Amino acid sequence: MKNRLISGIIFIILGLFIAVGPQTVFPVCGVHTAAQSAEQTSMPMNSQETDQSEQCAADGDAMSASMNMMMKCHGTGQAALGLGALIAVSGVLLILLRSKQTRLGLSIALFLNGILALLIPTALIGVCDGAQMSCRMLALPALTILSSLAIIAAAANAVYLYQSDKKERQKNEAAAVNH
Amino acid sequence: MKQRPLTTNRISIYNIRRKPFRAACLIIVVAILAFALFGGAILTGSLKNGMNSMQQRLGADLMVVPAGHESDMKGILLGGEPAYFYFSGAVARQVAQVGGVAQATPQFYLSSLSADCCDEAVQLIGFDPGTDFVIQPWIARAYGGAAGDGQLLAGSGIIIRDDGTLKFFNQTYRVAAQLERTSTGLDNSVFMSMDIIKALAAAAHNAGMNFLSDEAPEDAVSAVLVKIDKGYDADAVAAGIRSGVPGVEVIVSQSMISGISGNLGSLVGYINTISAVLWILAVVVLAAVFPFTMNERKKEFAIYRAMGATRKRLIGIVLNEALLASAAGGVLGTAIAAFVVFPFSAYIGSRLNLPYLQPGTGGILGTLALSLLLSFAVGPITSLYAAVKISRAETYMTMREGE
Repeated sequence: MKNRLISGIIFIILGLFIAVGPQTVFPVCGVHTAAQSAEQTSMPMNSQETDQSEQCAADGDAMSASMNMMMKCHGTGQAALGLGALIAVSGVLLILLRSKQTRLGLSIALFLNGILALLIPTALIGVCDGAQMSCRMLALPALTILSSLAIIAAAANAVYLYQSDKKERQKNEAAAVNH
Repeated sequence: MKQRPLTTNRISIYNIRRKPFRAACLIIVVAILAFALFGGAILTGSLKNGMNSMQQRLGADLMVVPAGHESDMKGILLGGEPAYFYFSGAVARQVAQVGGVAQATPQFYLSSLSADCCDEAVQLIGFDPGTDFVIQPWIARAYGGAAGDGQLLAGSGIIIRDDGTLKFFNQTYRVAAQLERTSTGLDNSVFMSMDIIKALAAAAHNAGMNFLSDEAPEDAVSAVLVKIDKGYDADAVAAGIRSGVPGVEVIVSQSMISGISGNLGSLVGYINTISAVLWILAVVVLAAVFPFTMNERKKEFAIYRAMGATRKRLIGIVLNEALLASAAGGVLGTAIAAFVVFPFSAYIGSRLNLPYLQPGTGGILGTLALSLLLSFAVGPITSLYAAVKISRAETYMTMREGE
């Protein structure tokens, strides 16, 4: 019971942080429109996009024809929302399910989810390039730490459950032989 | 069942396992101490390192800028906030004539566009290779040579394209080198010769951006950096420039550094005070807790004595338990501090709004060793008195106590 509660609560907390953090406490940059950018640039300019923004535009996806640009980090935030929710739900299942083997399977799935959560901001989608961008300064390190913790916790839980299950089976086998 | 010898270390481990709450409390106290020690030391080290780096990087004694643009200039140097402002090139020539001015070199500033999505505006700094005494010595030291014709030098925070170029206002230039991090706003700047930046200003004009509303681009400059003659006072020369050249503001580098240094000094003072207070608090708490725990374990130690354990062995058991708890707390606290200060260093630097440059590997390892040593030592030091006292207790009397 103690293992079920502790491990479940840990994964619920980690999952919620991974899901909600990029939208709240360590925010990604969001979606910028052409109008917003023009406001930020306090100089008269024509519609030509001629500087480093081209590189960025190539990285992002055009959301619509009206020059709304989705940043890489926005995609990371959305992916983290889904993955974090999945980790949190798995944490709830860890509390509810009694079977050690089922919980072992869940822990292995959580381990793989953790790896995916780590790869999303670092390799699969990434964050914005600018060193001073909020997503690079806050969301990237926070997601890296949280997903690393999820990986470590899932691996430790899996090893613990495997050994505990093995001991239990050996005890049962010994009891059956004695009987 | 497998039998193991009952060594001092094993007895200590069994004792810790048997009382997990007591052990957890000790570990948490030491972990808080280790967190403050290591985190505080890295923070203060980074601030001092950043300050040294900024002092080295400013290079000029005075900075002459158009009146009303003093804060813009400080923003470029300290915060990497792109800005552009201009006065006539004639001002540079006038400044060079003022008494006490040994060298004067003009700089020209442009800002790239704030990007639509992921990127930021970048400060473009043009210097005159013929008179420059600020940028080129730094480039020579950091890069080991001068940039070739038509080449740029990028600050450490600039994202360079995969093909090693940067594109501004439809003009593509090869980047000769990326400079080392300085923790100043110059990390977010791109450096180029005056010819290139004037060509960029013209390209920006053609693209519909009017940086220069009044000044003719070929004669405009943004700032004049001044090195004063030996024996002259920077404030006196600044006053001379202000009175002799109308429409300018003079920033005295030393005053700017002193202001930042004052803020930094008080912050470092706070951090050091908090670390020292926490260390003393941890020592006091542990020194108070150990005699209490020893008191309730008197009979346990009396049994060890009855079983043949020497007084030295008892002291060893107590000190070992304290050392194990301290070590666990020290490692835990230091690891948490490392998880905060290293990945979030850019955020901490930007929030503090002070030059913040993390120490090198050697400095970090030295700080780590010292923090761990102090954390590990706190347990055995505070438990020493209780250990000696319990070892001197009379076994028979202790066993009969309370009967």
